[in-house]
Amino acid sequence: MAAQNGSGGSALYVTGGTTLLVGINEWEISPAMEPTEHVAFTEDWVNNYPGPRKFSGSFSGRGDDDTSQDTLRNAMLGGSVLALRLHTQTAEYWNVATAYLTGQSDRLSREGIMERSWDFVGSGALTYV
Amino acid sequence: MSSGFMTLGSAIHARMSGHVGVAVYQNRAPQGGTPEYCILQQQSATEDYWFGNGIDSIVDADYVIKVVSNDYWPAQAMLIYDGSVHPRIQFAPLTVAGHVQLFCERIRTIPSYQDSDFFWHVGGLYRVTVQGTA
Repeated sequence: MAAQNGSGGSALYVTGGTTLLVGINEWEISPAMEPTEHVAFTEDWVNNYPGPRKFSGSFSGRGDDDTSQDTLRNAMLGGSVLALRLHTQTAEYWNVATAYLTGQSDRLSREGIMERSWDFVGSGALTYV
Repeated sequence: MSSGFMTLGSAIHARMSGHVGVAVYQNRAPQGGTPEYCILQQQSATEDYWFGNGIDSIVDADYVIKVVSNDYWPAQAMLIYDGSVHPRIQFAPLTVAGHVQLFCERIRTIPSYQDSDFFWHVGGLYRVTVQGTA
């Protein structure tokens, strides 16, 4: 047993095959559920029932002129659908079959490396492989 | 990076040796070495990693590069540093095998001082940043 850590992580996009997103060193994904509340007239406590799930996430790292980041920028500008895999380790990953980029942030200072991040929102089911 | 000390230090040494009018040494001059001479020494370095194959990293190292003189005044060391050493290393295109250079520039000067053996030290602190491409 060992702590999951970033040494085996990665972020890939899928277009038939998979392509490593070069320059990414951090990702986050947040599955969520919107439960349905119900309170009967005779009850004092709220009941919650499973509702639809949804997810969103982000990934970030350095800005790089690698073509993988060009692809992401074009998807952002074009509003294109995207498929992602966010690996926790080599053989395990969050499988984002359908997502749309909802934001990109580029930040550059004279003294440093460009910082770049993307936000996305999923559409349909999220699975863990 | 296999050895930041050796790889980066050698690249800086190669850039300067034979081009600054005085001998260039890493870390210390040889016993009995004749001043003036130039010393370069790594102070600290960070290494940042990105997801992928484990070799995607950027090394950001600070180097003191200075001229040492046993003259009575520090002016001779200043002349060599300002006239030859700094222009040679500032924004220099270093050759570091398997890496692409991102920065090579002075981030501050060091206060000129005279050590206990009456040698003047005049120089600056430089950051050298390279990215692995292997």
